[in-house]
Amino acid sequence: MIDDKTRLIENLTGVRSSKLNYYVELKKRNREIVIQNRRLEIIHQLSRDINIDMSLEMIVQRVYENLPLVIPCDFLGLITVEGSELRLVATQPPLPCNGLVVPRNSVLWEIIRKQQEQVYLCIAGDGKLLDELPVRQFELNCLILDPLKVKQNIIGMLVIGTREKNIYSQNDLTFARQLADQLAICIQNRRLYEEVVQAKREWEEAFRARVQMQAQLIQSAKLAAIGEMAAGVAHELNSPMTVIIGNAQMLQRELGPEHPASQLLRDIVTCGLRCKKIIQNLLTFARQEPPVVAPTDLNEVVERVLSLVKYQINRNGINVCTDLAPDLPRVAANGQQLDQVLINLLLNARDALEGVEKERYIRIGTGVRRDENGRRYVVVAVQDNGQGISPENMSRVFDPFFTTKEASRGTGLGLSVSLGIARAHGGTIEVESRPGKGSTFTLVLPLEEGRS
Amino acid sequence: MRMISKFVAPEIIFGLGALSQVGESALRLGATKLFVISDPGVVANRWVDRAIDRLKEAGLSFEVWFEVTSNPKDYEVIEGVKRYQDTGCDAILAVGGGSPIDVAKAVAILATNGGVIQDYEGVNKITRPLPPLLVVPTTAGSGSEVTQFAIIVDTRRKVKMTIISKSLVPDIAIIDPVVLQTKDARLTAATGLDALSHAIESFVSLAATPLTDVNALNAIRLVARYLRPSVACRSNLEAKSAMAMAALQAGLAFSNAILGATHAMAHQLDAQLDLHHGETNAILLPYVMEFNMIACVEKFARIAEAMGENIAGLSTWEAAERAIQAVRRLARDLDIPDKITVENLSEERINNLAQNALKDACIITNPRDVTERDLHNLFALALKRGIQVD
Repeated sequence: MIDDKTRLIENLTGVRSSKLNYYVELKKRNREIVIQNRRLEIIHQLSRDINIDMSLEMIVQRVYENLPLVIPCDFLGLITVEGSELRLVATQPPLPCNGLVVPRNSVLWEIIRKQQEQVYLCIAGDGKLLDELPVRQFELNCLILDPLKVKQNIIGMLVIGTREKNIYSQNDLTFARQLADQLAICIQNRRLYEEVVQAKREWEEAFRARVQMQAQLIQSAKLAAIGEMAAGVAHELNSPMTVIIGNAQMLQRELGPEHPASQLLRDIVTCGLRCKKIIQNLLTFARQEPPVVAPTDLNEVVERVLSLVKYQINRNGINVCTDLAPDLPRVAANGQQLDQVLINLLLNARDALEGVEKERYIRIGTGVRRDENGRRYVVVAVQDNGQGISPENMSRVFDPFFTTKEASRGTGLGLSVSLGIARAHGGTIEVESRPGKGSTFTLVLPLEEGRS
Repeated sequence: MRMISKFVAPEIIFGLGALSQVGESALRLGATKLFVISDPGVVANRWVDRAIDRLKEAGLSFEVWFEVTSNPKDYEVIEGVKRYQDTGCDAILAVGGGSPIDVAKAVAILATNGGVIQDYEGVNKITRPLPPLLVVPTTAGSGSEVTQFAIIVDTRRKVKMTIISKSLVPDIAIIDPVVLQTKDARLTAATGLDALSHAIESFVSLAATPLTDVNALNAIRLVARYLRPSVACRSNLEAKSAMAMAALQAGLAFSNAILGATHAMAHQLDAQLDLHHGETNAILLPYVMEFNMIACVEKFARIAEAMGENIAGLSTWEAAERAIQAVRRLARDLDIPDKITVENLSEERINNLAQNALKDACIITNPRDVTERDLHNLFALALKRGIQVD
């Protein structure tokens, strides 16, 4: 009783109170300003970070590092609207369930459906807070849910939570609101940025394809011109060669086989005939006629092509051998185009052997193959023991304009045109290669049963 | 009785012509625009003009507001804060009696703490420092220029709210006796007796300390000697100075030692009857002294001595009785009635007054324990005859 009275009197006379001091108030305000500055820094940092194309996880992590300095925060989560789903895309501390779909009956959906502004959830006691997210381990007691808005659309939600109870002040809520607004802008920027990059990539692709097509057209026209010229030259050579052979044969008949010059004349006639054959093949190859499909013997194609290019290959000290299957069925094909394919494969084999030290060879084999469905194919394989193709180039050898040869020697068109021809015949070209050991290119053409 | 005590006082500038210090004082407190609170009477006597001349000299801006009545009301405070904030003021100057000073304190509370004035009723409810507060009292009585109290009427509940906080002690009190010259005899008498009641109640208070005793006794001495000449003659500057000092010292005493039953009762009557607070106190004081005498006979004897009574050869009891007689005589000399006239006085109303007085903070430090019955009897004594006259 007496103690009570003493306490009352002490209260009245203010023994335990003093006039409030502005220095104390100033210090309090200063602390608030420091916190406010940090908040501005975080928001500023957010707007800067988006420029360096950070992932959402990184953005959430960076924000979370600084957040506890300015607002009670034990959990930070970012939820985005993707199509008709809500997904938890990033959290701090990190949870293993990123990308988790938020159930339809969640309070989060309710906020979005009702187009609500900020929601502050708070519990006292041991109640459950937000069971839809796997955050029970954090024992959160206060949550701020801030929809991320771009114009009138909600694109996601920022979740800030803490274990402390009933802690968030009006200032905290305002800051959370600003943070969410900034984050919304960041995410939207990121999306727009990705769209622009994608559009740019597509545009560049289209542009490159166009340039390639143009170059291909020019190259084709060039090749056509060269073919025409070659045909012209061959034709012109044909008449003098006829005269040379005719005259040599006349001399042979007049001088008889006993004459000392008869051997020389025989050589002239033989070589002349060979020249004529080459010229004839060249004319056949270069003829500018619509492709004609006819039963074709691959062995004949090999012989014909070798007659054209064997000399060039042998000249490089490369041993050419053939392993031609007897009784090879004829295949419906355009012989002239097959010539072209085989020439390409042989010249590539020759180039692959360049600079190889060991004994060099090219093997040409023909044969029949049967697949698991019982369909039959004729094949011609060109094998070399050259440098092989590196694994990284393997997938690109058929790309137009892809070449590892120097610019003056290769156009990068040979194999792509060859594959085109093979496919036009319903076939394909197979490649096997081991770097340092050599490559095998196999032209595979289907046989049409009953017609061959 | 108590082991620890505390004595708080503002910076006090005292003397003839002290009003001239108002500009520099405001500058020292960091003010740039002052909200000047006064009442129409003070404005009419041009004391506000004198003060703002000094503010102008110091290069300060100001906003004058003087819609304050006696026994200041809560709605006046609301209006004052609105004006303070709308005009962008950053310090407050009160020029006037107890009412404008209490309004100034209340405006200061709301200016930095927000809310409504009812939020701060009671002890130590203020949480933020108040803007700089300068006070120029124009009466010698209320003591509000140095106290930690503000009294505001809650017009809805019809009660006087007492707000107590060390933060209500003004920063600077400028006391210029010259200003007292414009008050009429009746007001001078009422405010002088108010100061006497402060001095006597704080002297016998349970919270009295040696520091408050010195101030209280000296204030009693000065009132006994100078109140009559001060009421008698407006131009008696010696008496005015003495009364200014008496009011100041009484204020210092009761701000730190608190009051007693007289004030607990007066607060109830003020709110309901709109009488002058000084007069109410003067009428109630002798009845309360009679009631309290058995608690502090010694102190009453010293009061009698301070009031100039010859107590040589008297017993302590007889000397103490002289103190009460001296107070009655002083009031009579100043034409203060010995009863309060109340219309519609009923038993029920007295009960009501007694119940509320028992809840008043001032009752705590009264030297004699007080019951509701005691208060009922005291009210009956002080009010009864008024009814018979009617």
